[in-house]
Amino acid sequence: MLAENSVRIRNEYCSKCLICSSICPFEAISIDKETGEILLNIEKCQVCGICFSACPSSSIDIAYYKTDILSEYIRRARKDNLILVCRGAVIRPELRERLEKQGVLNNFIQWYVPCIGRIPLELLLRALEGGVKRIVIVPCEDNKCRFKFGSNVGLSRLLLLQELLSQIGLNHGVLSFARSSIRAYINRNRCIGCGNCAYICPSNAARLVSPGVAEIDGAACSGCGACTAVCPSLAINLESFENKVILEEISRHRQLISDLRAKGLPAVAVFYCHWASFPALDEYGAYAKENVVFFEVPCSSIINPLYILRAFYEGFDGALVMACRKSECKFERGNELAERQVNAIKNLLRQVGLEGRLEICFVSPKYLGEAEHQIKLFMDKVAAMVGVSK
Amino acid sequence: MVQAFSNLMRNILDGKFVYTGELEPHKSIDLSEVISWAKTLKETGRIVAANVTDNPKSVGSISSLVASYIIQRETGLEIIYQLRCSDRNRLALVSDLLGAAALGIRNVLALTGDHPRQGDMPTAMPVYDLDGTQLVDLIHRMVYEGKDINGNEIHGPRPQFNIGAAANPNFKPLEVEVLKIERKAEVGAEFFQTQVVFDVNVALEFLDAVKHVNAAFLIGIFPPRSYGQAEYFAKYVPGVQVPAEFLDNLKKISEISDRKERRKRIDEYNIEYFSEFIRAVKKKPSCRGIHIMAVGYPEVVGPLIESVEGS
Amino acid sequence: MIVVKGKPLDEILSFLLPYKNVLIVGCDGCTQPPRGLREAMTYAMLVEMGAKLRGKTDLKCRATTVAKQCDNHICSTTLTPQLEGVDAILSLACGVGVQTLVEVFPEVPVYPGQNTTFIGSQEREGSMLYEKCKACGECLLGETGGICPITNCPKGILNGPCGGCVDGKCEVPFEIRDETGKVVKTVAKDCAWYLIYQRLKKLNRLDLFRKYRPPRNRAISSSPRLMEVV
Repeated sequence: MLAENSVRIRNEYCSKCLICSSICPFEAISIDKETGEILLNIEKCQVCGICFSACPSSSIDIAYYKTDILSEYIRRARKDNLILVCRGAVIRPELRERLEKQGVLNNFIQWYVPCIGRIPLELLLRALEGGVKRIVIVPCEDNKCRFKFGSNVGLSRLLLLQELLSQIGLNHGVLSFARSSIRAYINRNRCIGCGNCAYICPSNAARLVSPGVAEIDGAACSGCGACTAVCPSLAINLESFENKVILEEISRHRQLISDLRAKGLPAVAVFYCHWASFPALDEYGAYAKENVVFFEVPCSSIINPLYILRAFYEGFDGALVMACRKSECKFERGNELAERQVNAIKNLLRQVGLEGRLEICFVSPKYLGEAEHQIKLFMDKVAAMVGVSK
Repeated sequence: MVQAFSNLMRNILDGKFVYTGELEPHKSIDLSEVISWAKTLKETGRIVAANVTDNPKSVGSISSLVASYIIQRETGLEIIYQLRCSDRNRLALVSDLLGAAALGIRNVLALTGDHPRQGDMPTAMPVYDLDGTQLVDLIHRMVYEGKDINGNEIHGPRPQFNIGAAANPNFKPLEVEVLKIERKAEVGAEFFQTQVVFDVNVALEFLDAVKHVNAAFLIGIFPPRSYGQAEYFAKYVPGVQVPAEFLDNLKKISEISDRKERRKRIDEYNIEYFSEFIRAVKKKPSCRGIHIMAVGYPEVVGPLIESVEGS
Repeated sequence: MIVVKGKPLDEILSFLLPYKNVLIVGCDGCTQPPRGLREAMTYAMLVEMGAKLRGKTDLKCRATTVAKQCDNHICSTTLTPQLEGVDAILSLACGVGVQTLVEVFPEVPVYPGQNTTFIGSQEREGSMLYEKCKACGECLLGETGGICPITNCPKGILNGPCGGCVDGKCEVPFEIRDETGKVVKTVAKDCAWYLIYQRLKKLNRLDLFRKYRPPRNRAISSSPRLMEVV
């Protein structure tokens, strides 16, 4: 497949300050000692965008969340408040209450971005210039950044901006932060003490305590959701990705599916890890065909048989799981767990008579069009199969 | 005190160096081929007794008891009746042993037996109510106490068997094998026939290791009919070491194109190699004989023994 | 734990296709892999979809679970209120659970959704379940260095190793099978008696290894077994 990189360094504008190379969490950027050119090793890159927002000469191009388009959107929306939330973070009830009190939840735009560290100060300044009165940023907690130190880098930069804003007379309220990462939580009454969560947890946050009930240390939880996928009693849920929420979201498309059926189109559900694919705000809809429905998950390891079966139960003709590439899981081996889970579900589906309707693919936002390509391949396959069965 | 019920044991107790042979009946009611092999062995005048295998490699074959009886009756060759635990519980074992004794069989080789999974009916239930050692115990009680393993009296005369068991000189570490042999001897094994040995050093080391055991050891050898057979042991029978020199020489002979000449040379080489082997192991006091497993190759047995013992 | 394996869906459907309202009952007890509420929900969807694809559109499943399906009191109190309109039950528990439900609800047909395989332990790393105990009723582990020859030796012999032990490995194939019983993988395994030898040697207790062990009393493990609870 022809792959265009989503991150590019334009050496012609580069001032060779090397900030990007020193800041990259994955050591993907280096300098060619002979030519003095800055080189990007796309294989190592995980498209966090930290380099992009750090570059003083704007010589790094990144395909997603383009500042111009976002700024324009903000300007046109004419909203008073802007809330930027990292995908790894969550607005918990207590934070919501606070924001409500402050009036931030009136007349506002809320966006999820892959990392706070990728937000250029320019965007915020242009937002303020465009009429936004208050900006609230919700980054991940200190040690839970999916891109190692993106959260910290982003925050220190924002503190600097806060300082600058106060120097020009804007008070601290204009730009505020609240760190709050997604966590799993357990209903101990439902726990049957199987210990699956304690084994699967990549951050040792879940453990089985006497008498045979699990508990989850929220401070340690990294928010992948693998524990919810292995819980046989549905006792564990992940904030903002509760089983109930996801299942209801799947069932919401019943009407769409029957409409598609009437048109003779197959319906496909795509469960994508939100680190594996960035259907960016500015380019959202690029591959959103009417018969593809996207379900965002925080890590492919959260996918359990119920989600997939519910999708087929509601009438989807195919389901595609998009996980991160093999070494790029943000939670060690969530993608491997997902692959195992998917294989087990495939076996069940085969027995029902739905062979070939579920696939898993491993993608990365670093190659433009990779996810679209996989979806297209899968769509064709499903269309052929549905055609055959009809 | 060991009593001799069979010619085999009588010879051993008399201090004679004994030779035993091996006969393998198949999944067939036709025993004519095995009987002809048995006749060849008998005609050598050197084979004191021959084993009749019991479902070897768990391939379901004609009852070893029936085959033993018929061969012994037809040829007059004394039989060592092999009996495995894979297929029979203790009741069936007792029945067969009583039957064997009534039919005049005087030697039993007690075996645990290959697992049915390895045979031609792998879906069979593996029995193993007893293991080989416990079977030795059972036979010993029948013979010397007139009782079965639960202490029930056998009516009338006691069965008369000399009790054999298997041993494996190739086992590593040898310590395990020695402990097992001690265990079997403790419950009544009177003679041991060993797994195939090609390397004389393996046999010598084994004989030294078991010299404290009060039982007769018969080292198992397998003169191969062809290079292919020897190669099979080297490649596919784990744990059996075939010396490279032996293989090389056989390979050279196997390249002879004239069939008759090739056969003759293979016979000669087997006789040369194994007579040397036998002479070496015979020097060890714990070695009381040789078990020649020349299955389907009985014609080599007579000349081989003659070349050791003289005609 | 009691290790279970899902029956082929075709078999389950062959049980359930004549019915309209099926209650699928999980077990939160010792089944491994766990067969709790989520599995019950999973089977509910599978069965309904499978039925639909086989032309039976009016089969409806409800999912529920029981703390311990082997306890008749718990089953009765938990399930009685849920049985209205139910014309068949699919149990996801071991064979004990299925039979307990049969005894507690004699008027409702109860079908097994699982094949009960063995009492085993889970090795998390390799995601494998291993048979560890045959419930023989005369535990030998004290004499064998804590390694059970009844379960770990294919022949279950007491005076091993047998001649099938080569270089410490068992020559009988150790097989992993799929839900239909077909062998999908064969693995080489250590000879149990060789492990026992190594362990006892390490513990300086080769006397235990050398010891002759007389035949087992098979009456102890003859079915059906009963016991009085005091």
